[in-house]
Amino acid sequence: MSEPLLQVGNLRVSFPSSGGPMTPVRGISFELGRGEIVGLVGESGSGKTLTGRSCLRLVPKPGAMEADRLTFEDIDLLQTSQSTLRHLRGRRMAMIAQDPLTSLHPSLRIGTQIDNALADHGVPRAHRRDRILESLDSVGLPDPDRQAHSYSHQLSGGMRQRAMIALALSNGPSLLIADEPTTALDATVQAQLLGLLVELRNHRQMTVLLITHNLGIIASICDRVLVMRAGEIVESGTTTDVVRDPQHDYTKALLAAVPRLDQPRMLPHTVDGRKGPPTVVEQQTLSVPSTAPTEEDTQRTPVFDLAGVTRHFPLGPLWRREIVHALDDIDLAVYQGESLGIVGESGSGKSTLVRLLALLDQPTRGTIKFQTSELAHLRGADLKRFRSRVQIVFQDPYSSLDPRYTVARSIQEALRAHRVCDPSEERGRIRELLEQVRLSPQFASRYPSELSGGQRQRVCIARALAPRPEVLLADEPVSALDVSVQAQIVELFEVLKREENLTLVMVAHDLALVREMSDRVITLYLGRIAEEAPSKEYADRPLHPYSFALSRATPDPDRIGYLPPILAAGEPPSPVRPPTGCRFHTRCFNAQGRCAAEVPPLYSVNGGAHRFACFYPVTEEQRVELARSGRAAASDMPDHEKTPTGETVDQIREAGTG
Amino acid sequence: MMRHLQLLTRQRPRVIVAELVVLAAVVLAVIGGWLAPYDPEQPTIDVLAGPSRTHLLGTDASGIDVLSVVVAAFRVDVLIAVVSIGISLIAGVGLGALSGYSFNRSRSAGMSSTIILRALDLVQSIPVFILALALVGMAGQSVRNVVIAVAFVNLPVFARLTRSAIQGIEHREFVSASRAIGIREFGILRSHVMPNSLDSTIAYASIAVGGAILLTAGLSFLGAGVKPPTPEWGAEIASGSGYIITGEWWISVIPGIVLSTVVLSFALLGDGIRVALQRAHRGGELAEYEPSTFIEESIEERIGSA
Amino acid sequence: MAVLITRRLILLPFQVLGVLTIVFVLVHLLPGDPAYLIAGPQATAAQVNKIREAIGLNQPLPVQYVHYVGNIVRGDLGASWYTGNAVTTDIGQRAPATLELITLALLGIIVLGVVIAGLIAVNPGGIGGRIIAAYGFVAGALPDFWVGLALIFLIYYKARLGAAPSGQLSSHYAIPSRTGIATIDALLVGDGGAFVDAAKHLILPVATLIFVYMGPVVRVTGSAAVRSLQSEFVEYAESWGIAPWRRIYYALRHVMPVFVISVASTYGYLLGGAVLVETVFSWGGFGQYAVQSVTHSDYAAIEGFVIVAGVFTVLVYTVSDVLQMALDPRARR
Repeated sequence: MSEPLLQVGNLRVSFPSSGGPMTPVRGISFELGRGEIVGLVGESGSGKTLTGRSCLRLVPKPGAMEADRLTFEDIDLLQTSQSTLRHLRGRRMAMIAQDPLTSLHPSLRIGTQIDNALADHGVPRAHRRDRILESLDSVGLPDPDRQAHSYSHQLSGGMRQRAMIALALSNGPSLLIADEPTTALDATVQAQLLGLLVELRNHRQMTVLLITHNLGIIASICDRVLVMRAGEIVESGTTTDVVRDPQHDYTKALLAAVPRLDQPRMLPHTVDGRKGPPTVVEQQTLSVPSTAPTEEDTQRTPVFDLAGVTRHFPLGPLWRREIVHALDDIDLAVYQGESLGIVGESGSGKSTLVRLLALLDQPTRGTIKFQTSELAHLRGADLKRFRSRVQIVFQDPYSSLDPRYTVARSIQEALRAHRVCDPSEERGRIRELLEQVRLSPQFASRYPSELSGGQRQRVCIARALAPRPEVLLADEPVSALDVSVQAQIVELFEVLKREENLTLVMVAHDLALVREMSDRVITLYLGRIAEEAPSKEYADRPLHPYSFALSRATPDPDRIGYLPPILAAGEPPSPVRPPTGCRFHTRCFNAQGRCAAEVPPLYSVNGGAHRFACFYPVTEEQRVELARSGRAAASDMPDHEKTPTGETVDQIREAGTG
Repeated sequence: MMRHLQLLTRQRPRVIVAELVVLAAVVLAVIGGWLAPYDPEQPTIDVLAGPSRTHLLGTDASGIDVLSVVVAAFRVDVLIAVVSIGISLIAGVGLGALSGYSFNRSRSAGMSSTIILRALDLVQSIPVFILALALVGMAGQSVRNVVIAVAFVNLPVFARLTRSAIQGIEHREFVSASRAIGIREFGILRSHVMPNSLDSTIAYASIAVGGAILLTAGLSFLGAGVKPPTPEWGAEIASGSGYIITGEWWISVIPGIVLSTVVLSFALLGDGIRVALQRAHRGGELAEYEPSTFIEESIEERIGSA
Repeated sequence: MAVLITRRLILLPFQVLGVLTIVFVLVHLLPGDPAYLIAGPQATAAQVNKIREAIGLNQPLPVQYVHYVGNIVRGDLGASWYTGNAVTTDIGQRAPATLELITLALLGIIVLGVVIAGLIAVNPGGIGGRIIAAYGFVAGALPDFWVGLALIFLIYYKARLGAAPSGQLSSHYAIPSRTGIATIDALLVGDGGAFVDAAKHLILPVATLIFVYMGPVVRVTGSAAVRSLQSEFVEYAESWGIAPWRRIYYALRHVMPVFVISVASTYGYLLGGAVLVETVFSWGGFGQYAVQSVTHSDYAAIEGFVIVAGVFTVLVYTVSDVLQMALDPRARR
């Protein structure tokens, strides 16, 4: 390696605490070379964020940082004065954080903040304006002048993050510490940001330390990887080496826990492969949405039947009323015994949908039937029976349990509500339930504050199982948990489904996760169903451009060096003002005039098992071409390269954002 | 029960001192009248005597022993404050709960909740002391009316504290989980929402008692509170106010010191309770600062709703 | 921005109407016969009845309400039976003196508040911050009337400084009363001596108000400043090398809306405090008028001063909201 940019030797960070000093970082050493992207991967508590901050000597009080060596470009950072450090920060090394909303000043305009950064590094007033616009432009923000006059809360997620990058890079540093920059973003937007980081590396020789918990991201754009656990680096090496051939057990476990896109579930009752691989879809052979039940359908009894379900929320005061179009015209069936996965990004309406199924909310229009009874008409004893048959597990284990109730009491409440057993049998039943979720009985007397996230989620699952439901709904049940814990909970769901013969409906934003556990997958986009297909078919041949873009954009550790092409340009529009016609047309690479005018109906192929709402679905040629255009990140990526639709990546990007 | 006792005992030293003072105040409120060495309502000829062995705190312009007045006044001041805050607390929490909890209804709940909020807002637009003064002025001067006036001006604060706490709790998933289990709305309110919402309200109640004492004393100082010759701190301060410039300071200054100490102790107690409750239920960060007076609390409320 | 401000100002008449309504409701909920109280304790039964007719107490409530609002909009707050004047006249004569008092106190609080918040911001964990917090805590427990008396005792009596606590002016000065504010009236007439004397009389009452009412502002703003200094955007700004002075500016800038709200709220409380402090210092303003009307059960005057106080606070809060919109873009919804 040529002259390294940053050298860290035996870095230690400690915090005083009531039980003696804690050392979240215990003696790690590494180097960063010029023009490389190095990934620092670890779960929560691994110390990766503190490591990143230490590179800039920004450990927050009362923490204390020590190291044998901390050199940046020949400067010994351990010896320099505060004023030299301040000069270096921003000018030579900079940082971006996870949440721009809290990291950017909320009351100052973006342009003002960049101006301040320039001014504090001595840039004369006359040059500043141009530099500000240049910065904003270089991170791909359209209409830089307008962004400069905006406040951070007025921009959407991806644009905010770009603005923060513009701020960080405004003084031209050569080292960028990126602390979980894409964690809060949708996969399709994340892909754009990752592309931006690669561009910075390629065109500006920028060194990036990318801190993340997501191995998929690491695999796609990092040259080297450092794996951190409990304050130590347990493994390091080139991405290819570490991902293909991990040495340390922890690395192996992490890799094993990541859900993969290309391992679809094979369950005995799937529908695919019945008539051989589906043929190339031509416009003429599309079948009109079929209402007559097919042979397959009659063998499966619908547990839930949704027809024309729409849910709109009013927003704002009476005189400035806006409508949030959370769901529009959803026609859907959930069949007994299946695992149904619902995928959607922000604004898709997936949480709203699952709450409607749980009868925690009522649709604005349309009907939902549960085994022939209409949900809206349930009263009294029937309602109670429904509640015992359909249960739900929520996303946030930290707020799903009443902090004043012991585990036993929370479960007991569910038991009592449905008079599942006699009071004398309660303790036994609670113990059984805890066993089912793999928690030892001693947890019964604990309070939620004494449990970890994964343990709390297990308790929630136990509580949901208490009334012996037939259907288990799960709203993003693992997204708040660490990767290794996610895998355990997902496995638990699978086991329980088999043991209790449940119908499982899981909602998530991670396509890989959903694909792994589901028989059938549904994609939601901005309140409408985009595609619905059996799991394997969805993986092999997504027909809706959005599903395709989503699957390409979802990072996967198996695709090393694969930088996804930007297939969904721009950001998801707000559900308050959804686009006309097909809601995805503003970002779609196949969009034509018709798409803005008409709402595409749900076409079906494969005898009705595979449905999609698109006038111009992805063709075989496109599939092949687009798959190939995901180049290895290490090589140069000229962004004037054309995509199959004839537009350059830049043009697609421009068209989408605005 | 044990856990509740722990709330009071595991505290910083100054809070323990405050607790003792409060305890003493409550005790004196009950027996103070009998402890007074002289009759606090009986004028004597020994007027304007400075502190001495016979009159430890001196006598006032009517020859009444200041110590006796101060000690006897505990009954009036502390009792009025505790009763009025008690009323205000119950009514305020009830109002706040009704207007804050949505009962899983989206439309009608929103409307009545907003109307109540606006009404409270308007009541709070009138400066507290002026409102209390006017209420007593129009209803007539009596202990009962003072209690009602003090309870009334504190009502909006309790209602809003409870309301915002409940709205915060209702967003937590365990409320949705209870709904999904099939528990009825009132049950959820009673067993999940309310217990989790009352922390700040209870802590604030102690501070409010201190504020109520100040209010009562202020009204009596003006002659609009309790009727003379009932022994009361503010009234005694008033009786001595004309003599400050001639040097007889003990009549006004001493009752003020006693009053301030009691108010301060209630405030410290409230602060201590708040810290302990946070520690018990949140188990995490303790804010260095929390509102400790009526004014601070209402400022924080306005900030919160902005 | 202008649009937003206009939108906020449109609310103002409704808020004023709301205050009037609340007062109306309260007045009518209270026990007692208003006509009797208005007529005064010396009236005969016939006079009381005449007044009852005149005010329209025999008419249905909504009609009374409409008359009530109509009158107030026209500036008619009724007549004080004690002074014999229209309440509006009475208040108009006395309000300026009170306004002088509370406005000077507010200005003092603002200046001191900014200085103290700045000092705390520069050295957050320091002893200064803790002393300030403790002072604020204690100050909130002190009755303002007692503090006034204590100050009179210590400074006027013991230290022999300052003016006698009796009104705005020493008795041997006589100047025509144009605004009701002694200092301004003295300036208008060109009487330097009277001006100085009036200024001296201001010192103790204003100091009392500042001492008691500065506490909440300082505590609330101070703690907000400390939290602001520790917030993520300040931390992040350090990562791009923010200049030390600008870092403090970033933190304080974020706290300005809080400061505005605290100051605005305090202005309202100062008006309430003025009632007591004016009594102690015989200031003769709006506050003493309020006391006087309560002591004499002067019904119309009581209603009058409550309405004026309420409208005053609503105006102050409106200004505060507009400033908020200027300072905090998120408030501009």
